[in-house]
Amino acid sequence: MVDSKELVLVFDDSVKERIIKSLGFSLNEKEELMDTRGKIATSQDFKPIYSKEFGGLLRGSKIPIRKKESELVKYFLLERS
Amino acid sequence: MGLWDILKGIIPEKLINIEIDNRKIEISNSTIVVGKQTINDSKLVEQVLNKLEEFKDKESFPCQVVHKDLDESYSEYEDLSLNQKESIRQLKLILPSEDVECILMARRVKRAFDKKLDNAKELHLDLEKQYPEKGYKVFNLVGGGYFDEMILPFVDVFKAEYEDKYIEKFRDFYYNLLKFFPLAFFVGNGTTPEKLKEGLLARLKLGGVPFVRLHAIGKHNIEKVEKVVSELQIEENYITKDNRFASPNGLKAQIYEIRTSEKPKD
Repeated sequence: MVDSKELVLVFDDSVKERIIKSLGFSLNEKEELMDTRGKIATSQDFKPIYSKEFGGLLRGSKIPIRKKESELVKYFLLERS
Repeated sequence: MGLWDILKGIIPEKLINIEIDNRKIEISNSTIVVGKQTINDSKLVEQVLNKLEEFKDKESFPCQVVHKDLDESYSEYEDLSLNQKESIRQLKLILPSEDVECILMARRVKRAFDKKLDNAKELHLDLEKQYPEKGYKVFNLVGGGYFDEMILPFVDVFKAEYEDKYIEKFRDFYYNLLKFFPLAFFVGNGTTPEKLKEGLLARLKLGGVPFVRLHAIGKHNIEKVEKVVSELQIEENYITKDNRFASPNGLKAQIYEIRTSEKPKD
């Protein structure tokens, strides 16, 4: 249950690839996110996330999200309500 | 350990402690923005990212990491989660997650329109795209204020009336509202008897609809329904069903159904 606002690190496209690396992911030749074990990282829908879709990583779930409102909604309902 | 703790020693502490929004840091390849302060230093950016990287094998990161395109949405949903905590908790208990997600998105769209944000229309379209069957209906219920004023109170009413079956009954009620959306009329505190009369007559004139339902919460609003029904001689001309409910705390509710086929003459 969310009781207070969380600290947020906001990034833009100029630093996206570096952020992806810092979070422990890499990109394969199709520009899909891969985890540290070399497996394709997926969002809550179990589909791959392409670099251009990457919207960040939220605490708690540690699951990467796409730049989509619906993925934020799912996170707030599952993890913070 | 929070984000600011790990950044101590990298970002000058005076920037961390100044008056501005201290819960957000914006980063690009050469700048860091903390509130109104901008630091142009790509080495500093690298140091921050190196610190972040130290957490990649740990259970969680010290902060949320959000793309700039999602920044505003993130803040809006965080505010909604904080301000409407009780309502969201209640909705999660009674509706499937897909419905709760749709309601939360509709609330976000309403806030965008209320704040006159440039992307309000775009968000509205997104909602319809995401939920083609019900997105616009849910938005109309939320946007018109009916959802919180007229629909959510039925949870307590049904709890008292149907006990163990209240979730099933509430879902029936809610899905019927969405299914027969144009046929429902909500009588709230802002509904005048004239407005009710006008809305009711307009619905009764619709062709090919099986019924019209009036939803009222509260004694005063139920009295408005009674007055208008009497003035329009509804019971003399139509088959009606007057469902009344009351919650243990004394809240009264009414679902008044008017079958649109006229009553057979005696």
